Amino acid sequence: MSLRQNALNAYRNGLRATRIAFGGDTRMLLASRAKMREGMENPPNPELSKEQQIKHLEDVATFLKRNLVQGRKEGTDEKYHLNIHKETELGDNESIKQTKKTLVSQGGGCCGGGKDLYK
Amino acid sequence: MFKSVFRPCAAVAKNARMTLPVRNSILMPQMMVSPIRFYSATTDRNEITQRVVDVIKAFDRTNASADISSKTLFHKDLGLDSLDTVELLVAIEEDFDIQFPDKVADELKGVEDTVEWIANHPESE
Repeated sequence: MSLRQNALNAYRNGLRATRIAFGGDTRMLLASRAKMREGMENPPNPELSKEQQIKHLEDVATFLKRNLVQGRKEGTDEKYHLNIHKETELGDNESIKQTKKTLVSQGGGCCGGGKDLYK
Repeated sequence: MFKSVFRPCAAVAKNARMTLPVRNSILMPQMMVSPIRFYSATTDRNEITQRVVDVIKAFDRTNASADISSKTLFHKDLGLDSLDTVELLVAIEEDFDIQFPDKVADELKGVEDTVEWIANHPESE
């Protein structure tokens, strides 16, 4: 696929991402899109290669989708409703459940039991 | 020795069996409702064309309150550059709640192509 197509696809994904991140917030939506358009016309990092600039925009789109959540204040209390959507990255602490590599988990470490440990 | 261990289990199992039908009857109405899906009735090409034209008219970069017909081409007739075209297609996507695959979007040059694709993919996301 040509560079031009890649750039346009990245722009398309960027625009879609702004809708996901700022769906209910017209002001931010329009501002972010205007900014993205400006970035397409006058790249913010002209020293980078074109591939890197496209990668940058793709990263921005991914960030907007996964790592940005808007909050809306509810009533007069200090309460906010967070717009957590299905693309939002949620940590699940899954790694903590994995068995650590200890001597015991590898069949004991005493008296020659750990001899396979450093293969 | 194990009897004392197993007996509570049996009791639990019996309880479970007793409660299950009750729970089922509560769940039933929801299960009946959930499979119903509402498709927007936009398979009619004229209607799709009209909606696409409305989106184009609302799109502020077009140099046209000019007549937009199904033959209108984005670049040639509306004077849109490639970035504008991407923006317009995203606007159409949002209006129809669909998503053009990248390859398709590259090929859509005018109203007719776009309407045709939407008409052929009523459930696309």
